[in-house]
Amino acid sequence: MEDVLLLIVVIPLIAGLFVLAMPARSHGVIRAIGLIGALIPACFALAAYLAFDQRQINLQFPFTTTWMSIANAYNSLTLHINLGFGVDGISMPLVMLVGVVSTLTMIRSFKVTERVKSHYFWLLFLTMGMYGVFAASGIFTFFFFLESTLVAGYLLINIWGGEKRHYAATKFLIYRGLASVVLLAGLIGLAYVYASTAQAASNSVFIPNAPNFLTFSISQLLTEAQLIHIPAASQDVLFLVFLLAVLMEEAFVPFHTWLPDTHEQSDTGTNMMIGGALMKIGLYVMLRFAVSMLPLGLAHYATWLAVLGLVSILYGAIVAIASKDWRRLIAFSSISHMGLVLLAIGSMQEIGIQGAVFMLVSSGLLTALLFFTVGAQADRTGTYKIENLGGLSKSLPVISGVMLVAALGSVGLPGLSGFISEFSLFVGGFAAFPTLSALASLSMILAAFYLLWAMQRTTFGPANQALPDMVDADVIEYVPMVILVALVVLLGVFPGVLGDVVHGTAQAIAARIGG
Amino acid sequence: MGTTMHLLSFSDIWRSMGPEVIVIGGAFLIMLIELLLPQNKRHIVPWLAVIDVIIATFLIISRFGGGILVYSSADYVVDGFSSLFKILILLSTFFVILLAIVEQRKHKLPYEYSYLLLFASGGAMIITSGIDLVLLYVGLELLSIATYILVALNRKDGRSAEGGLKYLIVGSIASATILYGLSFLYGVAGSTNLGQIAVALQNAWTSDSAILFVSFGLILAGIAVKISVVPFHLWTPDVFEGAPTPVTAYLAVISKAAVLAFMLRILIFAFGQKYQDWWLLIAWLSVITMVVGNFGALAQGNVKRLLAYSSIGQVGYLIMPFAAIGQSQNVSNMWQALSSMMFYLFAYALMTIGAFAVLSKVAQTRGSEQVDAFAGLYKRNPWLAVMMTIFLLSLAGLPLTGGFFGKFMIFLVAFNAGQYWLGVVLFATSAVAFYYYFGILKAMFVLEPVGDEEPIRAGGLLQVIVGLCALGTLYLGLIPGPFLTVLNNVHWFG
Repeated sequence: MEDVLLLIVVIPLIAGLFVLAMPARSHGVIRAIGLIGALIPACFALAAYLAFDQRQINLQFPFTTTWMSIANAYNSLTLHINLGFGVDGISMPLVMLVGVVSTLTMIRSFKVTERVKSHYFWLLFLTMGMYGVFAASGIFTFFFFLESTLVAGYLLINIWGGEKRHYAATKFLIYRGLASVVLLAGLIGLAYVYASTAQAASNSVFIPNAPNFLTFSISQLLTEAQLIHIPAASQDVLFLVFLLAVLMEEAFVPFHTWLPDTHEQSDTGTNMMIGGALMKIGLYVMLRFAVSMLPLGLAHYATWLAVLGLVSILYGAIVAIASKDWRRLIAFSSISHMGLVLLAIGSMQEIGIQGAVFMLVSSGLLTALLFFTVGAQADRTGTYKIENLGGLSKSLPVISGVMLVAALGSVGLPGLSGFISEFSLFVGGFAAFPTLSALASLSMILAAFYLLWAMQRTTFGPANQALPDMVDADVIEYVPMVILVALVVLLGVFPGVLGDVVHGTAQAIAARIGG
Repeated sequence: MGTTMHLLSFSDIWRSMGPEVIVIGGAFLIMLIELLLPQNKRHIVPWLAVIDVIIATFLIISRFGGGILVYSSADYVVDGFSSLFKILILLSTFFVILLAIVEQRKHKLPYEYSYLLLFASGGAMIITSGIDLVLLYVGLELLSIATYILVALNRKDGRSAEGGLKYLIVGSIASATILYGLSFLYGVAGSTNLGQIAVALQNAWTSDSAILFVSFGLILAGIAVKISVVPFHLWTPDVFEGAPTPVTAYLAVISKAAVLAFMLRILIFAFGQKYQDWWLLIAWLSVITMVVGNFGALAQGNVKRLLAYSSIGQVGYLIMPFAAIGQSQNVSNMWQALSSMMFYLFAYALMTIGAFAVLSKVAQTRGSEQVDAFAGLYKRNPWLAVMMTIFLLSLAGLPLTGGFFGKFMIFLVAFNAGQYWLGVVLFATSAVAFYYYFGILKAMFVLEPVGDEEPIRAGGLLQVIVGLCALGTLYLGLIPGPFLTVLNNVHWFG
C-alpha cells in the first residue's frame, strides 16, 4: 500500500509505452492495452480510497525519494528536490475522479479510428499527468505533471479535433502555458518566503525539518503553514500570483475564452478528459496552495474571490443560454459552476471548502457524462448544433434519458450529486456574502433554464426530418453511462461516501483560515 | 598568482597549454595531410579532427580538478572556469565536426572545415585561459577569422557568401571596437595583465573614470555584437541562415560560449570593482535580449532563422545570472551565478546542436528550411521527430529536460539575489517561446506530410549525434545531481 500512488502514476505511462511498441494497425490490441492501462490504476485508486484513513489529516500513502540537491540555493540553504506522492482528503477524491474519467474515456475512444495508436498513447500520457498533478506531494513533481498535461492536451486537440482545431489548440497552449508559468513563479516564491520566514523563526519555534528550511515538499509546507507566520504583505503578493494563475488555468472570466473553443473543437474522449478532470486542476491549486498556505492572503482577497466568482457564475450562465452548440453550452455551464466554487472559497467556511471538493467531483462526473451523451448523439446525428436536433427521445430513448439525468444533475436536482454540492456551497456563501450569494443563486434558475431548454430542443418536440435513421446506445456505450449515472446518484443519495473522506481535511483547512 | 619571473620550459607549456597545443598543432598537421592525400582519400580528414578533439578532451578531463596553475608570470591560467569552458567547447566541436561529416556527404563542403573548426576552437580555448589582454585578443581573433571563412564555406551558395561577408564586416568592426576599448585599459593601467590592471585600476577609478567608462562601453559593445545581445543582434538571423548548418551550430554554441568567457574574465577582473555601477546595464541588456529574441522568433517561418532568434533569447538567459547577482556582496552568489550559467551552457549546447542536426537532415531531404518542411515528420521518421521534440521541449524549458533545469537554476540565482523581476521576465519570455516551439511540434505530429509520404532515412552517424545530444539533454534534466556536484566543488578562478 505504501507505493500505491507511485504505481497509479506509472502504470499509465508503462501502458503508453506498450501502445507505442504495438504495430499501428492492430487497433484491437492497442485499445485493450489503453483500457487496461487506465483500469488498473483506477482500481488501485479505489483501493486507496477505501483504505483512506479519515481521521488523519496528513498526506497519506506517502512515497518520497530524493531526486537532487542544489547547494546554496538561498541564504546558504540547500534545496532538496524530491520526487514525492501523497494524498489527503482533497486530493484523494480527485485522484479517484481521474481514475473513473480516464477509464471511461478509454472505452469511449474505441470509436476513434484515425491514428489510434497515437490517440491512445496521448490519452494514457494525459492520464498519467493528471494522476501526477493530484497525487504529487512535491512542488517539482506537481509542476512536471502539470506541464505533461499541457503537451498531451495540446496534441490531442490538435490531431483529433474539429475544423478549427489548430486555432483552439494554440489558444489552449497559450492560456495554460502562461498559467503554468505564473503558477511556477508563485510556487517557487512560496517555498522561498517560507524558507526565509522559517529560518528567521527557527529560534523561537520548532521547525520539523530544521535546518533544511528550504523545501519543495507540500506536506512540509503544510506543516510549517501552521507553525510560522508569514508577513501579510508577502502573503498578499503570493496570493495574487496564485489567483492570476488560477483564473487562467480554470478559465474564469475574463480569461475564459479558451475553454469554449477547446471544448467545441475537441473530440468526445478528449472533452471528457478535459472537462471531467483536467479542468479541476486550477481550483485544486487554489485549495492546496493558496488557501491552505496563505490564509492571510485569502482573508485579504476573500471579497475579490467572491466577486470574481459571481462574475463567472452569471456571465457563464447567461452566455450558456445563448449558446447554439452543445459543447459550448457545457463549457459555459462548467465555467458558471466553477465560479460558484470560487465564491464559496471566498466565504472561508468549512462547509464551503467541503462543498468545493464536492462540486469538483460532481461537476467532473456530470461534465464527463454530458460530453459522453452529447458525443454519442452527435455520432448518430452528425451535429452538435442544438437547432438542428429535435425529438431524439423517440429515436434515441436511452441516450436522451441519460442526457436528461446529466442535465438535471447539473441543474441541482435533489438526489443527484449536483444538489448536495450546490447546497453546501451556498450555505458557505450565504454565511459570508449574503448579497453576492443571493445574486449567485440566480444561476440555479438560469441553469435550469439553459439546460432544460436545450434538452427540450434536443430530445422533445417534433423530430427533425433531416436527421438520419439511428440506432440507440450499444452495449459498450452502456458501460460509461451506467457507471457515471450510478456514481452521480450515489453521491446524491449517500454524500457520506465522499464527505467522510473530505471532512477531516476540510476541517483542518477551515481551522487554518479561521472559518 | 606568480610573483617571480621565470623562463617557460617545454614541460610548462605542455602542462599549461597541452590541450591547446593538441588542437592547434593538430589543425596544422591535418591541413598538411589534407594537402598530401589524393582527392579520393580525403574523406578521412575530418575523422582525424574528431580524434584530435577526443584526445584533447581526455587530456583536460584527466587534469580536471588538479589545482589551479598559473604560467608565464600570470598570463595564462588553468582553473576550473577555463577547464569547464574548454570541455564545453571541445564537446560541442566534436558534435559539430560529426554533423559536418554528415552534411558533407550531401553538400560537398570543402574539407577545409575540419581544420578551420579546430583553429577556431583553439582560439576559443585560449580565450578561456588567457588573463592577459593580448592573449585574450589573439584568441578572439583566431576564433573570429576562422569562423568568417567557415560561414562562407558553401562558396557556390549566394546566401552563404552573403552571410560570410556580413559576418566578416560586422565581426571585424566588433573586434576593432573591443581592441580600441582594451587599448584605453592598457593606457590607464600601464599593463596588459588583468591582475595588474585590477590593481592599477583601484586608484585610476578616481582619476581616470571617464576614459575607463568609455573603455568599458566599447568592450561591452564589441562583446554584445559577438554574442548577439540586443540591440547588436541584427546580423544574427542573416548569418545563421546563410551559413552551412554545422557552422550555424558552431556560431550559436561555441562562438558564444567563448566570447561569454571573454566577457566574464574582463568584466570581473578588470571592472569588477565598479560592479555596482554597471550590473543594472547588463540586467537590462539581458531583459531586452530575452524579449526581442523570443518575440522576434514568433514571426519566423524559416526554422533556421527561428532558431537564430531563439538563440538570441537564450543569450539573454545566459547573461542574466551574471547581472542578477546585483547588489549582493556575497561571493557565494557569484559562484552560484557561474554554476547556473555553466549548467545552462551545457544544456544549451546539447539541445541547440541536436536541433540543428535534425534541421540539417530535414532541410537536406525536403530541400527547404521552412516550418512546412517538418510537416508530418513523425510519419516520415518517428525517431527524428521524437528527438526533435526533446530538443524543442528543452529549449522551451519544460520539466525533465536540461533546458528547464538550467532555467530553474538561473531563476534561483535571481531569486537568491533578490532580483525577482529578472526571474519573472525569464519565465514570462519562456511562455512566449512555447508558441513558436510548439508550432514546430504541431507541424511534426499533427500536420500531414506535404507532397509525397516518402520516409526520411537518417544515416547511422546522424542518429548517433542526435541520440547523444538527446541523451545529454535528458540526463541534465533528470539526474542533474552529479554535474551540480562538480559545479559546486570547482575552483572557479585562479
